[in-house]
Amino acid sequence: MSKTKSAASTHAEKKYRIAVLGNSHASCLKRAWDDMGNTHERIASITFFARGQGEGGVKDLIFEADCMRAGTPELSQWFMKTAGTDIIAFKDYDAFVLAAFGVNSESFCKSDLKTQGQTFSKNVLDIVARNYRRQVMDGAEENLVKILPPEIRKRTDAKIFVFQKPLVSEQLEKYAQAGEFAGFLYRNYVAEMTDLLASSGSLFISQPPETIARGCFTRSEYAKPDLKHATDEYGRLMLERMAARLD
Amino acid sequence: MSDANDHPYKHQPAKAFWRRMVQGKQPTEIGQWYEQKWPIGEATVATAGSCFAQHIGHRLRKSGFNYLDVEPAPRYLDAERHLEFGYGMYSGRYGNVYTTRQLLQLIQRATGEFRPSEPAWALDKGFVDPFRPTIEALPLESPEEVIALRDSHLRAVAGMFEKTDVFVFTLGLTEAWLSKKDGAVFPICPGTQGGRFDASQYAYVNFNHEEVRADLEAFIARARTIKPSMRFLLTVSPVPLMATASPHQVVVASSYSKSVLRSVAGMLADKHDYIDYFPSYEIISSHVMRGNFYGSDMRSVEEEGVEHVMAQFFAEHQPPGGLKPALKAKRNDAIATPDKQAIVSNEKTAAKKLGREERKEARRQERKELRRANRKLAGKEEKQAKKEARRKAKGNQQGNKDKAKTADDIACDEELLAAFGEKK
Repeated sequence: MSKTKSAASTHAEKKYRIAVLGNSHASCLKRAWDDMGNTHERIASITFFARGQGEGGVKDLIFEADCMRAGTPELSQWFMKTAGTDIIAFKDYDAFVLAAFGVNSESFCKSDLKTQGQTFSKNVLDIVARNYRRQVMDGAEENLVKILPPEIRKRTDAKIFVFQKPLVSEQLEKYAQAGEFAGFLYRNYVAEMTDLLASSGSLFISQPPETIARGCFTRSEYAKPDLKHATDEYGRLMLERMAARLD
Repeated sequence: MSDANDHPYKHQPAKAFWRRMVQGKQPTEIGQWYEQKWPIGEATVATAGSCFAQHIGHRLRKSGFNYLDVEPAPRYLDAERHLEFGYGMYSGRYGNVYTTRQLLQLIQRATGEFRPSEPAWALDKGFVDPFRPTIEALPLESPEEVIALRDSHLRAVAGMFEKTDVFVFTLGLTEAWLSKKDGAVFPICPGTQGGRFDASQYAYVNFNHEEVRADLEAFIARARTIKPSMRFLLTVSPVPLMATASPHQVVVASSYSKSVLRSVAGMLADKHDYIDYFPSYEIISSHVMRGNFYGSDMRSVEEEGVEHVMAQFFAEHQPPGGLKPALKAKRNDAIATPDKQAIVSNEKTAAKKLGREERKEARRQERKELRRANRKLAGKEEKQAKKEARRKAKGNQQGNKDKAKTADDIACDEELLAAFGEKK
């Protein structure tokens, strides 16, 4: 296990070299980082290893003792395109960001489509929360969230952040009915992910509260016209949220 | 010139004659209990009533009728716990509605015309809603929670009346307890499942024929102001009183109660073409059925009884898309026309030869088949197939990803390429 530090660095002035491993939701982070002039008081550099097609895009990683590398030609091409290398050496980074991993953010709204604004008793919500959290723990979609942080942790003491997928835009009409219950599920999701990741010494970075509308949506000003991806400003807020947790 | 031997009974159908319909027959061979007044077809159906109505609602829902459920269970609440929390019991979470006064007050409360003053009832360390005290398996945390849930519930019920084409109501009791303050009727006696009985606050009432009729007519009139085309299917619960607060012996009290309810239901069905009566009461409780469908307590109705009742119903009312195979078989068994009687009789003889366990297994298989048919109807299988296809498509991405790319995937790729300064 190794962690490379600048010889002169101290706790106060330390700047982090960050590797972002992600999917299309890493775009907003990349644009935000560019807008920031690639500088930040706590961040020395950010290297993006990104691949399209959702979370599954980066599943073909091969772990070696000192690095992770693309396990397929296609992933290798994407990494070359976005990072200039298809090898992620652990010694080169002080923090890893898994960008936009976890459940599909539509799932909160989908689960609330039938309930249509009903109020549920605390008794019922307690059971729902227990079952939902169990599902988050067991869910197949969560596999990468469960697998990657412990694998990275085995090889480095670097900080590991998992960024939540942005919630869907409040303008998505098909979920206009969703609300209170979807928000309840989302809150439970955040709590469960925080606990789950803490077990591997990782930190879950949830969506900034100021970007959330009606408990389960991204406010329209933070959503791109495709209603799925987030804006550069959202990316900046997420980077700031992470930076605040760097020590 | 009229035939000297002619008289009205000469023109009556076979079902009008005891000798032809009942005499010498096994209970389940007796048929032609019911003839629909109008088809239900694709109409949206809502149910309410005493506990027997739960069976009716459950089967209407499962058989593919356009059944309304305005307060469905939240996702992630285990299906086996739905009933514990009043979900799926009826079209709304009002619990059992035993009396016509309770039904009338339900619509009045839902429309804001009646606001009872009764506070939440204390139970154990929590609170329950006096108007549906058993709707939740556990007491609620505070009176405020009771009110918040009730408001949400009544909003949903108001919406239900706007959407209902056919309202199925099972009349259950004439006896009730009410608040002396404002006449609010409770489904159960205060003090039995929450609250504290206080004779100065609560009064016992046994509604008579006139009161039951007036309440039911008032309810129907109010419901039709919300949805003028609403029709009503009335039934009477064959489940006798569990207990009476009258001075009469419980069987006598039960007989009075059911007689009043049956009479009102029949009277209104005769009077209005938009009201039909379905004889679930007679099919179970008539002496010609010899009590076969009652459990050992002679009160609860056995599963076979419910199925027999519903088979008579499905003989007249088919859901949109037709009856599911398992139900069709039951219906055919149940329609004991003279030609079919021999078949039914043979089947019964054969069934008797089967051991108890084998019959249980057969019923289990039948239920399984019904569930499968219903799943298909709900489009779950189709959804499953799509899910499987998506899963396979994802799997294929491993080998040849471009071939399996969805529009969503392509959009994601483009989003990424744009951020990294490359257009695809």
